[in-house]
Amino acid sequence: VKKFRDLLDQRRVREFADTGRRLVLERAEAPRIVGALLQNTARADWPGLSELSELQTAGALEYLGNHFSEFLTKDAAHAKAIADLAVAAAEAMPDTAYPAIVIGQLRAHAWKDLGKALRFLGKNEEAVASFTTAERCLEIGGGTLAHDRAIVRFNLAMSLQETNRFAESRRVLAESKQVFREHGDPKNATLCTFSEGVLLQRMKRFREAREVYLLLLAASPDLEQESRAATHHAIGFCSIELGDFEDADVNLSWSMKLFRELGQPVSVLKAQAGRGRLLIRSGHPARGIELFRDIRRSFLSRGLHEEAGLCGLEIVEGLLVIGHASQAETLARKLVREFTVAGLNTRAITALGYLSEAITAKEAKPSLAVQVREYIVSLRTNPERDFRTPLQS
Amino acid sequence: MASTQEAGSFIAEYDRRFAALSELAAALQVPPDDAADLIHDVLTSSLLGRHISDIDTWLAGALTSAITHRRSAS
Repeated sequence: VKKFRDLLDQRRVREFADTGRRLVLERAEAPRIVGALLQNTARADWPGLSELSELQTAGALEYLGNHFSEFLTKDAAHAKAIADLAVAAAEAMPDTAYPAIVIGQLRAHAWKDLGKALRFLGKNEEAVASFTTAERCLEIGGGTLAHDRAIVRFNLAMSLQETNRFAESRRVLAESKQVFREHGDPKNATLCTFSEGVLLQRMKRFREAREVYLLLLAASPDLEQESRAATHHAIGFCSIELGDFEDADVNLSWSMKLFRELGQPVSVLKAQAGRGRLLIRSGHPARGIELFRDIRRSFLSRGLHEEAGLCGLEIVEGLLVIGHASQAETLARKLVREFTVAGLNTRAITALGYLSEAITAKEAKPSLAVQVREYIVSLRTNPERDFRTPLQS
Repeated sequence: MASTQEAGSFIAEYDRRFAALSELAAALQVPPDDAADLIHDVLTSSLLGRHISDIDTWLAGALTSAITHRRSAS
């Protein structure tokens, strides 16, 4: 066994040691150097920073990667500006600056972050292109970068879902999960499983989705409480669609309990919304409407206009179920005004307007309210998707 | 991508991990020349560039995956 080490070109070992020493220095200096550059330069001028040698280091790129993660969910446009800078710096870096494998990783993760930012901004085709470029950066190392590649491809699978490439997305998720398992990375493997469940729900394959979630709970006794709460939430919504109302109630109750313990009131409200839907679908529309009115008020008091609007659409569905079309019409028109005042996506407002008109013309069934609600939810990740009326779809 | 290793510890860690992975490569009957390069590449991709929580499992997985990849490619 010892002879393996002796067979290695000793220049490669020296290169490893030298790179290690450089990385320690770069990591120590990056917060001061890169932090100051970002702070003292207007965001519009950031692209020019990529020419600076101080930014073309592994330490600087790691710093930008961490900075990117801080902003991704708070301000995706800012996160994209960081990722654009990281990609430009990584691509400008000489190929010989680090061992080829490290260069490949640095470039791949910069492109991967850019893809994530694009996905958050709803630019899914561009995101797919970024992830594909990231994957190409990892085509070195004879399979040693399989874990990096799986991380990139997991993200690719998310964007494939948004472009309706469901079968491809599912295949990529399964492959990535296998790689994560082989590398002893249960956290990412679990994310793949959960994402597979979400994908099946989007495909309206609720029974299979529920199976996936149930297996996840059974196979992951150490699952974090937030993930456990989200999984019970998802099972609850699948069970409603399957008409298994007792199971839905049990799982939504678990979800609410766990989210309450975590101090996440908005998530508790979303689980309560599941119970409202359950009541409407299980033959208790009046009670469901009453519950949704309470939840809607809570969302409005928190300034969550879109969530409140989605609850409003659940109420419209309930009112149409019990034949109260005029109340449904009044509420639908109120939702149009609320969405307009809140400056929400104009496509959502158009879809709500269509619903109002259909109710006025006595052409609206409860399923149209469901269709409009699902459309508005889809705009969160696909903001330029067109609304298709029942005649078009 | 982050690591907090001190400069001197990189090479010590490299040597220790190299020995452990050599055992695995030998058990998997990888030709010695291939094994040396693969182990070096796996260690480079992990010890220099990545923060990995369970590194023992990760390294074994990475090496096994690379061996499988190389065998299927040849």
